[in-house]
Amino acid sequence: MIRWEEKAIARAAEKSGVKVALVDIKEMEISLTGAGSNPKIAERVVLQRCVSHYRNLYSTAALEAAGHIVVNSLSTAWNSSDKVLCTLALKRAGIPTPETHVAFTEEGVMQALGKLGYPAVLKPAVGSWGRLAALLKDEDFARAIVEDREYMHPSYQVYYLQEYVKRPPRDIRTFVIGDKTVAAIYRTSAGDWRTNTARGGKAEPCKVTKEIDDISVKAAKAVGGRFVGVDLMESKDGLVCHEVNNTTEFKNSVPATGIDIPGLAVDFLASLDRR
Amino acid sequence: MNCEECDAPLTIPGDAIQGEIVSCKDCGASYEVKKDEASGLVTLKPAAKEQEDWGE
Repeated sequence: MIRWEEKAIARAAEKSGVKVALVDIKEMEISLTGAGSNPKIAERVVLQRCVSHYRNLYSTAALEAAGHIVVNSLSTAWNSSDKVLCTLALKRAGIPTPETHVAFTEEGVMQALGKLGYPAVLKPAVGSWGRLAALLKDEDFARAIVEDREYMHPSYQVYYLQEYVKRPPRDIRTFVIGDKTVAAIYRTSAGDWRTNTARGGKAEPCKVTKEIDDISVKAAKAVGGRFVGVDLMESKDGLVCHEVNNTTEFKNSVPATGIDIPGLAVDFLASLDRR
Repeated sequence: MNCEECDAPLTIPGDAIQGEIVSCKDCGASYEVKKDEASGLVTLKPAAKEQEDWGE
C-alpha cells in the first residue's frame, strides 16, 4: 500500500528525474530458483517499504538473492526489526543502550525483573508502534502480563525486558541516510509512557547536535542500515539508543523539521544505482 | 463513494495513485485506491487492517 511516505518518495523521484516504479508485493510472486526475481522489478536498486515485517524480510531475501541492491538489506532488516538482535548489535558496536534481558518463561522473567527492578519495560521481540509494549509496575502486574502472553503465539513468549530509563517525557527519533543524520525530532508523549506518534506522540524539531549525529550514525552502522530511523533517549548518563527502525516513517517529521527526507533518500538511492 | 463505516462522502485526491491509502475525514477509516488501467476508473476498497507484524 502507498502511504504518505511512499507517495512522497515517488514525487521526489519524479521531481529529480529519477525513474521509479512502485511495486505492490501483494500482487506478485518472486522466483527463488529462477534466473531473475520478477519482470515487474526491473530496477537494480530497490527501496523496501513493506509495512509487514515478514513480507519485508522474505521479499528482501528473495530480491537480494536475485541480484538487486535492497535498502535496507536483509541483514539490516533482521538485526533491526528483532529487538533482541538489535540490542546485541548495538552492544557489539559499543553503543550506549538500556540494560536489557531476554527470558522465555515466567521464572526467567521474574529473575530478570529481580535485576532490573520496577518499573521495567516489556516488549515483544518483533513489534512496532508501541503495540503490546507494557510498563511493568510491580510483580503482580508482571505475572498477570506473562500469564496472558503464555496463551498467545509462541513469539510472544520471547520476553524482551528493559530498564525503564528516567528521561524527560519524550524521546528522540533521528533519520540516518547513508552516513549522515539528516533530521531529528522530539517525540513528546501524550499521556502515555510510549512516545510513538502512532500512539498520539507529538513531533517537534530537534537540533542534530554532534552527539546526536555520532550515536545515530554508529547505531545505523551497527545494523548496516542505509536509511533508518534511530530511537534515542536522554538518560541521566547521556544519550542511549534503544531501537533502530528498518522501514522508518517520516510523515510527521518532514513538516516538523522542514527537512526533505524523501528527497534526500531519493538522492542517496540514485547514487547507489550509479556505483 | 461513501464511507462504509460512517457513510460520509469520500474524497479521492486528483493525483491519487494505485494502492494509495486515503482516509475518511470523518471517522478515519482507511481505503486503498484501485485504478483500472484500461478505463481509468478509480474505486476505493477498504484497506487491510493493521496486522500483528506491521510497523517500522
